[in-house]
Amino acid sequence: MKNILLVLSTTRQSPKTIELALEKVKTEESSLSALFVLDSKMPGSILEKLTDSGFTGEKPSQELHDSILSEYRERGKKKLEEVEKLAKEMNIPFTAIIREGDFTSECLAEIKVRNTDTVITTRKKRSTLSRFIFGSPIEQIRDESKCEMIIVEE
Amino acid sequence: MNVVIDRRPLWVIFMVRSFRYFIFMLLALATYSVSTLSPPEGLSQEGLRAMAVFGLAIILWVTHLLPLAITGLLAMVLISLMGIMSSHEVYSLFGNEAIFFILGALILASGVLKTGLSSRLALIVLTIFGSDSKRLVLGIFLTSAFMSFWMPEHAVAAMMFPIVLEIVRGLELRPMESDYAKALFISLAWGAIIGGVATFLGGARNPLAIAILKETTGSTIGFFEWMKAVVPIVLILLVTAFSIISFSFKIGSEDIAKARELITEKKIKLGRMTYGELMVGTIMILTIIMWMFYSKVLGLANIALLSVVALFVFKLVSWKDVEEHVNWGIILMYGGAICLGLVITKSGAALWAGEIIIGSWVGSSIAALVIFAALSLVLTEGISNTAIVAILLPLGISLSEAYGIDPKIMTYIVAVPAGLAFMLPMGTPPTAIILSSGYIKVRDLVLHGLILKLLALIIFLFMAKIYWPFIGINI
Repeated sequence: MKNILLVLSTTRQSPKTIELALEKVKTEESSLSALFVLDSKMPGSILEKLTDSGFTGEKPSQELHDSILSEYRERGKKKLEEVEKLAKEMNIPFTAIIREGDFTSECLAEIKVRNTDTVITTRKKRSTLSRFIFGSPIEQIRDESKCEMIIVEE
Repeated sequence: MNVVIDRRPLWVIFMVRSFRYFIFMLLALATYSVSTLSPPEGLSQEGLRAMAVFGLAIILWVTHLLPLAITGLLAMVLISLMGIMSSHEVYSLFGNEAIFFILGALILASGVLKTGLSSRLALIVLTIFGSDSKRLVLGIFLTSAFMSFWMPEHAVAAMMFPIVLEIVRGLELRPMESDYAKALFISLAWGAIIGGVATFLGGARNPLAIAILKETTGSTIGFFEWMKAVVPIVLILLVTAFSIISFSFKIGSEDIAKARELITEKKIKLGRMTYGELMVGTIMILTIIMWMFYSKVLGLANIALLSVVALFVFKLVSWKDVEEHVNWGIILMYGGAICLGLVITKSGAALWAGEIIIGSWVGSSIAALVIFAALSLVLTEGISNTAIVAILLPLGISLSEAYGIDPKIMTYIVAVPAGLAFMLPMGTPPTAIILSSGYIKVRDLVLHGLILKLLALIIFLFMAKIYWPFIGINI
């Protein structure tokens, strides 16, 4: 049985990708794991701005950071519940995982742990030049994991 | 541990990583070259050097290549090294009264936050206003606004954010879709932003503006004098902003029973008012009264610091609490900004630049004021509002004499609009905070913020022309 990993994150939650993953799992009779990566860098970028131009102290910044992260975590859980509901309706074996940290590292770790055959994820449309110069986490995952990657561009 | 290998070509990695240093080298070279050129007519060599440092500071403040505070420090070092002002004079500007006033105000605010008094006040107001959906939005709006009269607006936004987030979550509103969620978050940000211009306490840009005015001209604006001129404008802006929120977002008859329960639960959890809250509240009220009526006699900073001492006498805060709540980078940023303001004004560079930029084509004093207010209002969306004051005010003050404008008026004209960044997250932390919730799109803020911005400019100028003469400020 093939292992398919659907990768979602704070900024990658396209319904098209979820649909595609469910269809693929159904037709190939594989198992589905859905990973939600909580990007811990995101609140940091807001707080960096806040401590710079707003000059907020460490404690209020940390409280705000925790509050933002807990909201993202809740949303991640909800998203995974939605996917789980759809998977149940289609009788697909499903596992939900939430990881917190850097998108690329967390994806690679999960791919390794689960012996993933195919990764399905989404990314924003960007020019090839921009990906070449600034790099792309999806390309990095493709290079490191060597497994099949299906990328939905939105 | 997972090691991720960067597989881009080596030259690309080298180029991307060294780009930053290349920019710094270019900036250093440009600053040096400009400062060694022979000055154009009407500008002294000293003025040219000051302009070079000023230009560098603007680029760094706008691009955030360096933290704002470090840019402030760099400006001071360059002013001293280039011989524009002696080291002794430069660093003595750190001892400016405005800096100690800001520090005192921030330490006082840390007391209010630490004891939980701010959360209690917010919950009391929300309980009073939380009877229906529209009143709840109004409650959040007014709480944020009123608290920003007396505390830094970003601290108010950071304190209110978790409360609003819990309300929105409790009501199960959908991110990016629910109009009601958008209304609640925008009320929080706009309330804090508008309230933040009312006094010297809402944003440190106001005391910074007063410090630049005092250092360059010797005149000053008192705490109550500022409030007299600005609070009526703030009240009209609050009505306007709330009307825009009410009309733009469908606030219908949402069932807010869960929000009410949540607020009550939180209030019960806080228990009875503690000794610490009561004492901090009393000290805060006394301090505000002193600032309003005795600041000219006793001095703003002295009152602030005496109140800080009182916090420690009554053991209401510890030094650790202060360190956790106050970011000391503020001293560096404001020290640099005041120094830069003084240098470009005294060297004649500000007057020269001002005349080149607007002097040749602006015929009247009213037109000059409109241009400065509009510039401040527009630029504040993309640049930190403190940096706007540091950049525009010295130019404005230098041009004041040529146009026969009282420098005090120019201070209001630049500093008040500089605080009104309603649209983009780059201008002020409250908008960045609410965008981080994921319930609002930038488009929502830009669209409605633009309408409010245009109305704010009209209201501000109208009040300046019609209301200010009644309180003795004649444009």
